[in-house]
Amino acid sequence: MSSALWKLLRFRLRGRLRRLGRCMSTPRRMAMSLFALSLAVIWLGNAVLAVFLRDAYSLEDFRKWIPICLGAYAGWHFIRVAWNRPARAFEWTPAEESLVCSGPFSARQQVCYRLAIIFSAAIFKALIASLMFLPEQPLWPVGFIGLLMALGYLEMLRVVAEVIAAGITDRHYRQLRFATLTAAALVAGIAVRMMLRSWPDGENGDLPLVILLLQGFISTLAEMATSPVGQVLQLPFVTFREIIGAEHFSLALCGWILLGALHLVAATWLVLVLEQRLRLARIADEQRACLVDGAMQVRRSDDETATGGLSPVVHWRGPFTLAWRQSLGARKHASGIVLALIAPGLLACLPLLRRMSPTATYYNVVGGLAFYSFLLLPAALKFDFRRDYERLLLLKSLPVRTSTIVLGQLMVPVAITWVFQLTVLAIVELVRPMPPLTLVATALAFIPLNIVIFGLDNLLFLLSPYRLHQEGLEVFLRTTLTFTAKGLIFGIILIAVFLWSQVSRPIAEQVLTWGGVDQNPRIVFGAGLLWAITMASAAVLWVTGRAFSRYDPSLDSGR
Amino acid sequence: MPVIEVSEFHKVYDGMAAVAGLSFRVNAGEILGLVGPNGAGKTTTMRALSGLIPPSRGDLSICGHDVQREPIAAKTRLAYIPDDPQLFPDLTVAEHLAFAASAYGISNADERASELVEQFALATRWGATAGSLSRGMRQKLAICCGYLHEPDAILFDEPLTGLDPHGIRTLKESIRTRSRQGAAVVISSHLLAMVEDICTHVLILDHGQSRFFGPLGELKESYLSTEESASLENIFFLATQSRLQGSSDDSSSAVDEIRAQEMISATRYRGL
Repeated sequence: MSSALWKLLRFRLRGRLRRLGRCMSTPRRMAMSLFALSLAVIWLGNAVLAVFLRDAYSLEDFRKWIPICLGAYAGWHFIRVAWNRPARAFEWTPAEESLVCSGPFSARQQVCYRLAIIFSAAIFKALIASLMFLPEQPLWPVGFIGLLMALGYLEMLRVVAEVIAAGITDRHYRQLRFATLTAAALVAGIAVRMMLRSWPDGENGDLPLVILLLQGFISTLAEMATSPVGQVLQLPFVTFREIIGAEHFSLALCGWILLGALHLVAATWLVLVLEQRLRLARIADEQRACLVDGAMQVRRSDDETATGGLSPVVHWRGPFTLAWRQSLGARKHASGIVLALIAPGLLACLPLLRRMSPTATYYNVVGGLAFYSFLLLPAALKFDFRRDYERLLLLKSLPVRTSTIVLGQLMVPVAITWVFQLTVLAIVELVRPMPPLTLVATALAFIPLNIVIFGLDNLLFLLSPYRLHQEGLEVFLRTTLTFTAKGLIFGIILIAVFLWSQVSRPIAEQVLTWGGVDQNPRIVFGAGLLWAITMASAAVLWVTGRAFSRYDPSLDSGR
Repeated sequence: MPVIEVSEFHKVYDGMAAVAGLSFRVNAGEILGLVGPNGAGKTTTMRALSGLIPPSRGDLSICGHDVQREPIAAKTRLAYIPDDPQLFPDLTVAEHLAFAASAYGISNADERASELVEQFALATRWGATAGSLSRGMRQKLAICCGYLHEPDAILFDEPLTGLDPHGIRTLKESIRTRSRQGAAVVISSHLLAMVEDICTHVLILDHGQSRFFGPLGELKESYLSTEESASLENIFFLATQSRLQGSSDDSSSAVDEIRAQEMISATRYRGL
């Protein structure tokens, strides 16, 4: 890579540190920084405590699982790319496009620069992972090196998958998608069959179904890994097992480290070669098409046929216009959305497999649905402010009230989530029927809950805006801290719900004493919960509106 | 040998040609004004010349180096200053200049950088981050970064956007100076008065095709016979409006005039 690009990486790191240094310059920044710092302490503290308090796995188990986990993660990257095609092999920021892509650097140097940024995130991830597996690693520094190589290798494999998916023709991509997804479905089918065959009969009946499934999944995965196909699939990762799980320094270990480095170099080389080949092939295709197509059209204003007027959206008012704009984006990513909803849908439906009373099943499903919506869906449905980093100023300039903008921006993810939740509730109703009133009340309660879920994510974004599709250390840290914050909030909500469940019975009794009305504690509990969620959604909307109206591009995003 | 040479350049997006068969040359010391309505293909041409997008057909070269086949050699001799300067918000003015100096391998970078920041009134913002600069200042910084390696070919896309009157004057003077020193300059702009003021040659682009290409003086001379005054603005409208109006009667004379001009242009191309 060019020395100038190394210099640029150094400058950018220095710039980030400078920005960190400025994070105490205003009260708002100070508050945000302290909040992020406290989250980091909680997250790291939790990880560190877990390291010292838990029992170490046996070295044999640890070594067995290293290639399985790495292989599964690599497989996940290929499935993700096969389902949702990346638009470009590499995402460049406008500044990189302007200064790096048009600078005197070869395409290879530019790709190396991008890979260096990706690899820098792997260093931090490896550090955290090696800390978490401290009790299992016989030689910590070597373990760290092994993890760094393994994670770097995985990142390169991910980039390989993305370069291929973005570079091949549409026809070839369809074939790739079909082959990958068929293989994944086949493996999943075999796994489910194996799991059902070895399903425990009653002895673990007291355990929650999620745990049982997780146990079944893990043992199935281990069983599959011992098969000949599993052994072959693990081969590319065996080297890293030998480094991470090395017990003492030896010549053989040096050999494994060298082999690991070769793996990394080979994967990087593969990225460079594939990127070059596919890029040149695309250019050649374009040039060939241009030469062959004698009737190539020259763009003219009179070529553009009238569409017969504007969309009916011009007659819409308030937040609906903004929601319509977001819905266009959602429509474009429909397949990705469906993929993202499968996992939470399946997880939420798990209680249906247990023998419980219809009421208990129903509340289990509803609780699961709320939990998975809270945890998984905001990352999958970014059709709100988070997609509009470049357009925040434009949104601010609209002659529309802040509250309307916030509502309009949140409407699409909230609506998609609600439709998803209604679908799950409909399935529950088919399997274990519940009174219609309960269903309607639950469905209504999900609307403010979804506003809270997406409002919180948007609030965090507006307090510290960032561009989507960024890569590197910053994104990793942000994601981790956001997850920690959300975990904390969910914990607080659970405690509040528990406390409310405890006091709702005495309240119902008080109502009976004072007013002589026989009140069902469940109704008191439900009504109170609905009221609290509604109030919370109103509060979140208000705070998000405040954050949006206070957004200042020069302060908040350095523009 | 021309510094910038574009020959039969085509760029196709989704089966539609953004630029079709464009050819022109810019020699050392010439300033070419690239004008045309929105969507005419000006930015596409600039981006292809700077190596940001590959051509669908044709050749583009800088100082004899093909932009596709010898990108580093071509880009080393070139500076491309886009209309919306995109800089790294966390990097300071000094760091941007240091990166540019390192990228182009400039030996006396400190001296040149000091001169440039002085010239473009950025000396007081040496340690400021790009994120804290105004749009005009960012534009000036992008120009400084572009000028640092004393390029033989300079591409400006709407260079005056965001500049204050002092900045505009400084930029115009610097363009003239660099042209006198032997640089070939291409300026894409909608400000026809500015193009008329500083450009020696003009290329009128419309719907991806060249309508006129030649020295500004020649273009004006060829229009002296018409009733309209031969300002670049009038020539521009005659060249581009005819496409919109088609063969309507009131514009037929203008269309004839343009056809005649196109023949002149075609003759000139054949001589290339």
